[in-house]
Amino acid sequence: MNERTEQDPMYVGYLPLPTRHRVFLALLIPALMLALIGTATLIAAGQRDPGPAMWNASEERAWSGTLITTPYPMLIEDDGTTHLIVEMGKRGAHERSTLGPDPRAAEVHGYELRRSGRRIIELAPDADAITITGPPARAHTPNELGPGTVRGEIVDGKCFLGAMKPGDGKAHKSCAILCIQGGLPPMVAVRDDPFDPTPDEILLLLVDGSPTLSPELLELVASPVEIFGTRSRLGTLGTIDASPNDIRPLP
Amino acid sequence: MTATYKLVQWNRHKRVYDVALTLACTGYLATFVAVGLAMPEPGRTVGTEVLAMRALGTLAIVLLHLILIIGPAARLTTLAAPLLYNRRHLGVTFFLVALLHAIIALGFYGGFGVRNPISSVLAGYASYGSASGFPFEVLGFAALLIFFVMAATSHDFWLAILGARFWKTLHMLVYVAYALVIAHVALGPLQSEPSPVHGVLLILGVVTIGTFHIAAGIKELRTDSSAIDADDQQWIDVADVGDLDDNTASVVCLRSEERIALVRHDGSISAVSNVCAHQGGPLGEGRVIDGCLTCPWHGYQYRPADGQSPPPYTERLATYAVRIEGTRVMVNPKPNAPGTRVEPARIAGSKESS
Repeated sequence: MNERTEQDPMYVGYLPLPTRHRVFLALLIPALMLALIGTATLIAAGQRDPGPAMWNASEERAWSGTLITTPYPMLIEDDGTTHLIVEMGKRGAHERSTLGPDPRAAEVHGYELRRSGRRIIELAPDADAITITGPPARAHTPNELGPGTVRGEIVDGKCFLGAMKPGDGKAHKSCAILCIQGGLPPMVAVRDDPFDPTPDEILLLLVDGSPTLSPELLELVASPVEIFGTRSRLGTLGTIDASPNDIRPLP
Repeated sequence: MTATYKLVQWNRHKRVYDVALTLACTGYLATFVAVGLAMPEPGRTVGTEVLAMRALGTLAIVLLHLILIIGPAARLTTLAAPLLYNRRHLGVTFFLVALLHAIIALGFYGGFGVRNPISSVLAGYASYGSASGFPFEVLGFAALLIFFVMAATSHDFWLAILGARFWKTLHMLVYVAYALVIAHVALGPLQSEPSPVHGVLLILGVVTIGTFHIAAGIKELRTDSSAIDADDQQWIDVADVGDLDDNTASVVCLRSEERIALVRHDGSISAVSNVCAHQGGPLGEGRVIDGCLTCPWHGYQYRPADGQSPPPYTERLATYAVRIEGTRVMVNPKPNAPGTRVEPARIAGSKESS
């Protein structure tokens, strides 16, 4: 037989609360509340720095420059400042950007995303968000910098530059894949430390000249990778062009 | 305890419980968002949708740990009984918080794109062989399905429809879901965070739950170690009359893993099954209130002589024949059909109260 049952009043939910339970709960409930608030503070304060990304979705702006669509829709201002162009949501802007042969002088209306010198314009929803204003002031040709190897993480440019904060890492993987599948620019956040909020560079990733990633390469999104390819510069935008076999996961 | 089914049988304790629970959840979410919006510095904070997702996700995990601790805590001390009494409200609240977390994750990570949100989040990638490529979202979704079944069947209506044993087994799936949640966090968000705080807290949670369960298990083993061998015996000696206090119950363990609740009430001793017909609560740890043996878990009541709940209630327990030889209490270990009346064994020299 078990130990003799104590004679203290038993707690029954529909009867008045016994004194010893009342005392216990008077101590436990505030202690639990404090523990909860302490836990929330610890977890929230321990979140990593998502980095200096900015998405000015409330202020529509206009930019003028040279519009090109290959290898990815972008606007290069006269001073060389380069903006990739994307649609609202998780979609690329190839369709709306293709208004004639490259390059064309254009005015683009939209919302700015910016991080560490990289810029993206999210097109305004108006039909005339891109207006061709005349022939280009000058043609822009990529400045090839030669072969090189970079280490970092493949991200989708829009989220990483400010649409999601953070727009990288494992938790964001499915979103990054969906974004790239929708035509948003695959980019490489070049960094040795996968948690560094300020990558050394943010490069547009091209695979055999195209910003489209195969299903095999999509699996590598949001994971540490090493990429060997040809590096170029177009305006202020750095690119790396690699063959699929030269994009390898890092342990 | 109820003869008819209502959505919630409200009483003062449940109201206080729910107010405290709401305050706790609100306090957690408000603190998380306030701290999140201030860190690491203004203008460089986590996005509001991600912050909401994380606040809800972490709150759900904290609530799940509380839910899993309450059970063994109530086995270790009767002081925890008020936490157990309304645990299903805690469980349903936890499920709703987890569901909100999932909806935000689906909406923001899976929405606004060229694919169906569910397919993009659950089937966007599938490197099951690697930790960095394992689709952790699938684990969270599987856990959520289990929690949904549990929340949906948490009402006593389903307990009656499914039967206590099946219902209990179904709700034991919480441990499978808990394992899925831990894997969901370890293979997902933890890989995105360099701070050791999150991993340490998770390990602390797992260890705490494990410790409570082990402690409760040891207590049960100690009870079992005093089990009486009832093989081939018509009557077994289970206690001395002097060891039993009036209006209390005691647990008698048999080697057959059966447990009997021995009840002293009104100058007599009765014996019924130790297992409450509601959720399997330990009746031998209960008391006699208003002439009925009362379960310490949810207050279900049974008459000691026939194991029946007083009308209009219909729950019934197996009963056992009892006799007293000198000062020793003897019980026939063969159970009678639930609800069978057995004449209580009269204690010599005691008087009936009525």
